[in-house]
Amino acid sequence: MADRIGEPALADGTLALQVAEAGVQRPTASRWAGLLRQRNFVIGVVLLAIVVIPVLLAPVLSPVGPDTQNAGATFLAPSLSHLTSLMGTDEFGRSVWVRVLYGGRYSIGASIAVVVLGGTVGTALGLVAGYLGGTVGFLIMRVVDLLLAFPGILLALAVTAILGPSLVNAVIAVAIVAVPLYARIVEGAAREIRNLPYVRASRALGAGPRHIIFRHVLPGAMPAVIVQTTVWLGVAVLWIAALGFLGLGVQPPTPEWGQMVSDGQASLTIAWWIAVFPGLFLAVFVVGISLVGDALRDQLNPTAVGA
Amino acid sequence: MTGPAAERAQSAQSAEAVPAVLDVRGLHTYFRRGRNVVKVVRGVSFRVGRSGSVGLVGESGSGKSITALSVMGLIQKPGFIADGQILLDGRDLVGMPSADLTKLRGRDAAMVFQEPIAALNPLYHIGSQVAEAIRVHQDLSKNQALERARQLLEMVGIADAGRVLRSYPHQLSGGMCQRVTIATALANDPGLLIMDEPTTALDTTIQAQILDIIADLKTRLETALVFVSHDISVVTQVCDELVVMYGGRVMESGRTEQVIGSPKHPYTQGLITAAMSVSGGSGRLKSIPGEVPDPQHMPSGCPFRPRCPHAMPQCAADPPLSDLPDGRQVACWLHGAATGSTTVEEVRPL
Repeated sequence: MADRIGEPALADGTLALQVAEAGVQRPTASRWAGLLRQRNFVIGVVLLAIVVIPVLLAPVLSPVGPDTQNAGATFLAPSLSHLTSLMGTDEFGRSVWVRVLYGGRYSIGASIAVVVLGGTVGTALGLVAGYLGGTVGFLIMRVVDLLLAFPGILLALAVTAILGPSLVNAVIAVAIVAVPLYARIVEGAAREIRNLPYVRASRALGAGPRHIIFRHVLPGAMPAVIVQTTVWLGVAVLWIAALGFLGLGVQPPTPEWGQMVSDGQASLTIAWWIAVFPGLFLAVFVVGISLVGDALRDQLNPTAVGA
Repeated sequence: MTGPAAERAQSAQSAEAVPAVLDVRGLHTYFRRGRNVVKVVRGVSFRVGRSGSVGLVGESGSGKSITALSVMGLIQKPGFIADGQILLDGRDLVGMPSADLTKLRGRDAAMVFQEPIAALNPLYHIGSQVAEAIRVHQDLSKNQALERARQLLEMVGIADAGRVLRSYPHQLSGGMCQRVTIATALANDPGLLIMDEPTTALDTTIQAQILDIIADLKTRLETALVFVSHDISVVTQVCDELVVMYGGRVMESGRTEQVIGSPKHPYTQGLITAAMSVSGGSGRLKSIPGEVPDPQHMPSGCPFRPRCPHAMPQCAADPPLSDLPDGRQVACWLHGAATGSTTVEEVRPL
């Protein structure tokens, strides 16, 4: 063969260099830059900031405590004259503004707890089921199917009914709804990744199951997990609110958005602000999270059409 | 030597001559398919000594890749090793607990696969992956492992190892990635290196470079090499010995120059004629008529019988793999049996 090259390293090296210079992007750095170019992502982040920053700064922005009652100032309409009555007051003269801020800590905190709990358990189950397969995987996935067969809200209601109404139990109930969804997504990804050539190559070099799961399978499944998590941050807030609305979540006088909407419903005709402002914060948070989730999905999943 | 060890030594011909790194004896690897068992590898034996190199050649479906995976203990359900011994440095890998096999992989035996880019995780840069392969078996810090990775890349002829270490797989060419996977496989100085079609996915020119590197490494390292390929002309460039496989059996084996110079088995003759007609470039391409038998419907007797120009009634019975006077082995009634030499492997009733 005349075209056999005497100095293979050099020839091949320059070839590779050209490929690298042809503008192929590094996966990590460019991904974040790509996100910032997406309108959805930027709008979502701004909406989230509008809600989350005041909630985080609740003690600073609150002239009174969330449970401070004022018998002389009940059902005050919203006014810009004083921070306490920025969003009006409720039937006990408590500041709706302050309660919305503190309520956000419970609502958002609970939804974070849901995705952490549900996400961790669901991902772990999915990894085990997907990587091991066989009888263990089969059994795990049938239990998951069983959980998926129930309408989610019914399942959450049943769990809180059994455990008793409280914020912690509401979190557990919604997390139980989230577990099978995480498990199914991660199981699919793990089953696909465990048969990829680089996993086989890694196995041939002496990597054990734990190494392969944590180094190859879990990082490979992460994009799906991240997207699912952003979606569920929004969904969980709504569900915690729904359980709160039904009196199965946070117990009074602790403020929580869903429960505040429920309380305000009684006096909606005379004092709309009691229900509307927590509902508004809830809506803005969920929309913001959804937009960020959409953008992340487009960015992390190169096979998705559109974007 | 006493007990089972002595028995094993007796049963192996000329085991005392050169201690084999790898000694495969009567390997049978089957796959369950529904209620049936598909016999993909049916009694394959070969050995590789230190610094030795054996090429497993055959068409797709001949069982050569499954043989290689069996040696690495990488046969997964529904596949299983039904019978035989795989002796790596004298230890039988068949039936070894999977935790022990895991420790052994990469350290005592390593493997390089066909698709070089796919064999690297797209999420990590090369340095991280080579260092990881080192750290699986050696207690080194990340920086020490990276330094060793750089040496390994230089060993496989990568001039700008520093840049390659920082690159992601998709930034490198297929040839460059295959060098990286070869370097990774050599990371822990394995006694045995198995390469399964390492050049098949590459351009012809790059293929020549990789073959040069393999030939170069062979002269420098004492690693025993098993090279699996469907391309007899590629195997010939790298290996001292050839094992020609067909239908899950060894058809012919011997020193490369013997097998290539005067192939005895009609199948080997067909393979060489076909390869020569491709490189010769004049007239019609020659091929072996017919198709590789489906392992689910393997013909009785010699598996090559339906395609063989010399097929005769006797071929309905299994031809034993027989020693020829010049030291090689052939499984064909035209040769071994006619010369009346000894049967190396007893024929199992299937």
